[in-house]
Formats: sequence, structure tokens, C-alpha cells
Amino acid sequence: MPAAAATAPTEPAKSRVQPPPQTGEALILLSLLQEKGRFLDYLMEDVSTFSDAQVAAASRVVHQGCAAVIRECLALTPAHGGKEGERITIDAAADPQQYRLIGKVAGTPPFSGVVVHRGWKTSKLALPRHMRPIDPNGLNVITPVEVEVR
Amino acid sequence: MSKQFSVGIDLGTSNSCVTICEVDGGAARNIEITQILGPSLVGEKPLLASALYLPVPGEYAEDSLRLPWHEGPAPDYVVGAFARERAALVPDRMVTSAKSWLCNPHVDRRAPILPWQAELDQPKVSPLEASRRYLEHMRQALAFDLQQHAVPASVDDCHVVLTVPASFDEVARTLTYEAALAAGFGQVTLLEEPQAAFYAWIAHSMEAGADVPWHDQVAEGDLILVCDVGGGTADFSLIAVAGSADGLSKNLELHRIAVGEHILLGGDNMDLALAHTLKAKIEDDGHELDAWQFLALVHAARAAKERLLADEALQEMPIAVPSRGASLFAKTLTTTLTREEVVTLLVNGYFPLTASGELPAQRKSVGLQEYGLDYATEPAVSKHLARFLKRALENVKSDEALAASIGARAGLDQSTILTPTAVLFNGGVFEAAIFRQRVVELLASWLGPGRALKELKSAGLDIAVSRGAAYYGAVQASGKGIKIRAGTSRSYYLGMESPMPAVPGFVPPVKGICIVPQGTQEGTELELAGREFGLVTGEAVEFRFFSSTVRAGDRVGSVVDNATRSLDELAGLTLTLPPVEGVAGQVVPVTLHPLVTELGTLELWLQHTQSSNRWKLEFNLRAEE
Repeated sequence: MPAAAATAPTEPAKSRVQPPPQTGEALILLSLLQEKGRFLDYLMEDVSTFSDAQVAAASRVVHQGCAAVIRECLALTPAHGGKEGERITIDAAADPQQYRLIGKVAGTPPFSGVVVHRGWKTSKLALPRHMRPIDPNGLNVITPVEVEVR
Repeated sequence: MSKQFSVGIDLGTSNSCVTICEVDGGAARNIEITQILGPSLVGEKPLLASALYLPVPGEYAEDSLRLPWHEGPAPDYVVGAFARERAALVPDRMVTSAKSWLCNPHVDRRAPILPWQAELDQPKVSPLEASRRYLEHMRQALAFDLQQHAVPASVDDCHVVLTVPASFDEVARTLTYEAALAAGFGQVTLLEEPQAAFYAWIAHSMEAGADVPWHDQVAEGDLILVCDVGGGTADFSLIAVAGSADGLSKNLELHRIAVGEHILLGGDNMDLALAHTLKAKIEDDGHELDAWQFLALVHAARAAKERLLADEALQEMPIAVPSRGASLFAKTLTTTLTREEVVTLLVNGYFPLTASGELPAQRKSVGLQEYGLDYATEPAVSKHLARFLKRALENVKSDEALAASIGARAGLDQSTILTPTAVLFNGGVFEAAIFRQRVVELLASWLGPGRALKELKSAGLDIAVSRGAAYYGAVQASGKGIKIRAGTSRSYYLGMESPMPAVPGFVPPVKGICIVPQGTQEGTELELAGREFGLVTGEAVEFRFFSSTVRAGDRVGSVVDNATRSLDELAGLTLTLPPVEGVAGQVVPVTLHPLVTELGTLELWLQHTQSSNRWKLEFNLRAEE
């Protein structure tokens, strides 16, 4: 990174911060969601000035496009295969990542409780890869300005 | 031939696909094709869009189109998903349907003509070169995949089978083969796509866990239609099930007895038809759509169609089309696509229940200056199917042996078409059960009362062709498993001008002499006996070259009186003879030796009658003026 090297003498502290690898993944995902599902357009506009019908119409665009991105990059299934509202027992061998205990949590497993939300999990994470490192401190374009040449 | 892996490549009109399997059985696996998904963005997809985008110099930062396997400068073009995406918005810089251009006889397929009719300030590419780029990408992606999976083998350790449409003539097949060699494949075998789909069905039925092996699903006398409607093209073949004497495969033999014509009609047409209907609805509401919104509409229409066809309870699907700018809420247009529209437009429009005698209208011959891609003007697949089955009957009737082998059961004399008794579907269009049901209904109506039509269960409509090709490669390499008896799908002819006194304003008819009969097996060398040609050294010799898919009865030397009317003319054949050592005079006597290679290509050799010298005739692809 020539830019960092040039500023090194005056800002020694900054040059020591090495960006962790693949920091760009979030930007890649955001960029995909915007390109295919207009995700940022949807979030960044003030929704209060529009009618419910207008919001609904826009949601269809976002829903269709973003769902397609998620389906392509991830293999999503509910983290809990059963129904919400059913009573389950979580013993000591259960993966702690799989469950979040709420309410009166005390003592030691096994815990017995009711499924409030079935959660999500994915067996695949296939995001496109950036071929050049992304500088988290730099300015990164998520979606370029579109210009129609006439 | 001791290759460890077999690789099947489906070089599709709109999408391509690669499958690998071990020659000694073992599961087949589809290669996840690494490709450019955006500037500096790389990822894997199961299909490679057969699209090529030629960016303006400087459109992307240097190296942003680099793939993991590129050393040195990155290429100045993009292939795959990103190319298709870009190409849709910058149509003048995209190359698509290169495959259909490969079989367009009106253009020089080695000349840089694509993007067609675009004004480009940089070099264009030829249909051959576009195909080469797709194939090269797949070869590199395959090598990369083998490396990523730590498979101790290289692409050269793979027996590669490349599929081509059954409707491809010899020129298009040769060009495809040439493109594969130029793409860096050491050797490839060519296989017709409908056959590949059929092999996939065989392989699927023999897998562990499958219910019924293929030979229990069909019986002697069955006539199987392979009905393949993909994104851009429709391709038909007929495979006959015959009894076999050698006791192999439960005493059944498979013969591919007819192939169809190249029809540029497919699922993309259907999505466009829906989008135009929706566009009209939106415009009736007083809104306007720009080109970009129309594209979004095509996508939305496709998605809605798939939902409607997959779920019979749905009566309509809402469609929302955003505007181009960032304001999503104020400018999104909405309409609905109803189930009734889909059924009327697509099922009745593309697969109407027509009589077997209803054929597509004969195309008026278009002036050569207007040529582009020869899109089908008749949208009814049903009528194209009727025409195919009528020509198949003509083909079978022209050959006594062939007619005898399937004739009695099919009732050849009474019918006007050769009606199949079973159907195997292929291509993305048939993902929707409603189209399969409609074709079955159509064929059953042609078959007549009391006779049942079987639908064979496909192995997966999008990937069957590459899977089947990989399976076929394994059969070839190991010698184990059943092969369809196919041989050449067409018969080939050399044009000869009839000697005739000159009459002003009258062009003497050209006779066609059969040099390769239909069904000639791979690895056969023929000789056109009794005809010697005198060639002058240093001068280019030109032959006119014809083919036919409906003359199974012709043998080597058979003469067709009016070749230009009865046969399809292909690119001419040409050769400039080098000086021959030891030949005193200028005229060299030669005989013609056609050779159908083991790889499925056709070579035409001129053999010097007095020495072992031989020269190969090449296709002359210069466009006619």
C-alpha cells in the first residue's frame, strides 16, 4: 500500500494497523443486495412520506431481489427443525451457538423451555471474493454512479 | 485411452455447464465454474453464461477482470455472469448466441463479425473465437476446480466429450471441434445433445436407488422422442429401441434414426412474450417504461411465471418494476401477471394442440443482405414438432432396411408422421409440468386412440446434457455400458455440374453424389469408387457440398438429380494442391476418401491414385457476395 507507506513517517501508529483479511465481505454482500434488490435505496430513503401502497410496491422489488441473493450465497434453514411454541430440552451436549436462553435461566443443563423463535442457520457461505484488498479506512464505492452515454 | 476421468461439456446457446466423473463408475459432479461477477469480484456458479462482453478500453481498472488462473495481463474481455449482466445494458458490446452463428451458412464464421451490426472502435470477434473463449474459460475453470479439490489429475488426464446440437451440420461441427482445440483441449469427442440427454437418463436409471433400470422402462419397438427446448433453441431427435442379437443390455439396441433442424425458439422467447404483455398493461395505465425497466420487467415476468407454473393454487402474481434512479418508493410501477395470461400466452401460444398436418409456414427466402440470425417466425413448437416427425417419416421411408426394422409397428403407410411412443424431455422450459403435460397430450392426440405414450423421467433438465456427455465419455473410455447406434446424422453430397450445352439464362442443374451415407459409424473410411478427379497443381479446386437429414436410403455413389432443390447446401470445399514430386504432368489424378473420425468429425481426403500422397479438403467459409 503505497499510500500508507508515504504517510508512515508522520503517522507511525496508523501504519501498524494491518487490516484483517477479507474485511470487504460486508461490502460485497451490501453491494449485491443493492444491485439485485435495491437494498440501500430502500433503507436510506425516508419512508414516512410515502403511502403504504407505495412502500408495498417497493418492498416487492427488494424482497424478490434480496431473497435471490441470499438464496444464492447461503443455504438457509431454520436452526430449530420443529415448530415454534413447542417445548424442548437442551442438555449439556447441545451446541451453545445453536440456542440463546432467555427468561429464568438458572442452574445447570438440561434446560427445558419453549421455542420462541426457531432461528436460522446456513450450511453454505459462498460470497464472491474481491481480487484486490479493500482498505477499511479508505473510501469504497458500493454501487457506482450509473451514467447513460448518449 | 487410459484416462482416469471423463468430462462432459455442454456448450449451450445461452448457458454452458461442465460435469466430471470417474471413468470406472463413481458419482458425477458438476463443476462450480469460477467466473467474474463484477469488477475485481470473482465467484463460482454452476453454469457459465455463454455471453461475451467487450469493454471499452479503460472501462475497468487494470487487472479488475483478472481470474485466479491468469498470469500476465488480464484479458480485455469478460465471459460469464458479469458479461451477461453488462451486455444487457450495453447491447452493442455483447456477443451472445455465438453457437447459433456457428451454424449460420450466410456468414463467414471465421471472420470477426460479432457483435453483429454493431459499430465498434475495437476489433470484433468471430463466432469461432467467441466459442473458443467460452471453452477456454471452462478448461481453465476445470483445471482450477481440480486443483481446489486436490484431485491429482490435470485436464489432460480427462477424456473430454463436447456436445453439439443434433441439428448441427458438418461445418458447424468442425468449427466447434476447431474451437475446442484452439481453446487448449488436446482432444475432444463430439456428441449430439439429445443423445447426451438420453445417456443422462440411462445413467440416472442405473444409479443406486433408482427404481427401474432403463431397459425395463422401454421395450423393443418403442420410438423415443427426445424433446429439448432450452433458452434459445429447440432440438429434436428420435431414438428407436430395437432387438439385439448380441445379448447385451437385455437384448435391446438403441438407434438414433432422425435429427431435427436448427430452430431458434426457446424459453427466452416465452419470457419476452410475457414481458411485452405486461409492458402493454403498464402503458395502458399511462406509464412509460425505459429500456432498463423493460429488462427488469423481463426478470420479474420470468420469476412470476415460474411461481405461477410451480404452484397451481396461485391465480396471479404481483409484478413491481423499479425506476432507474435511487428513489424506489415514488417511482415503482406495479401490475399483475395472471395465471390465465401465462396459460393463454405460453401454453396455447407455444404448445397449441394442433393437428399433425399443421406445419410452420414455409419461410420466404430472404435476400442475403438481410441475414442475421434465422429466428423462427412460427412460435408454435407443436408445428415444428409436426414438421420434424414428418421429415423423420420421410427419412425412414427412404431406407428399406430402416423402414422394415420399425415400419410394421409404426404403421408407416397410413400415417403422415412418424409418431413416437415415448418422450424424454430436456431443457429448462420443461421444468414446468404444464408444458410436459401439454406435449404429452399433443403427441397422444397424434398417436391415436388406444395407444399410450410414455413419459421417461429426466435426470435433471438443466444439467442432463453435460452429465450424459460425461457418462458417454466413461462408456467410451472403459468400453462398459450401452452406446446408441448413431453415426452421422446426415448424408453428405458433392455437387457436380451436369454437362450440358450452354443455354442463355439457364443454369444447368447440379447433381449431388452421395459421399457419406447417413448413419456412417465413427472410425469409418469410405471411398467414392469409380470417380477420378483430375486436379491441377497450384490452382484452387472448389467443390459444392450438400447434406440431407431425410435421405437415409442413399449409399456412397447414389446420385441426387437436383441437388440445390432436394438437399441443403453447406459451405463449399476447397483445396489448393501443392506441387507433387515425381508427377511429370500438371494434372494429378485423385480419388475421394471421406473419413468419419473416432471423434465424430468428418474429413474429406483426396488420394493420389499413383502414390500414397493425400490432401485434405477444407471448408471455404467466405461469405457469398
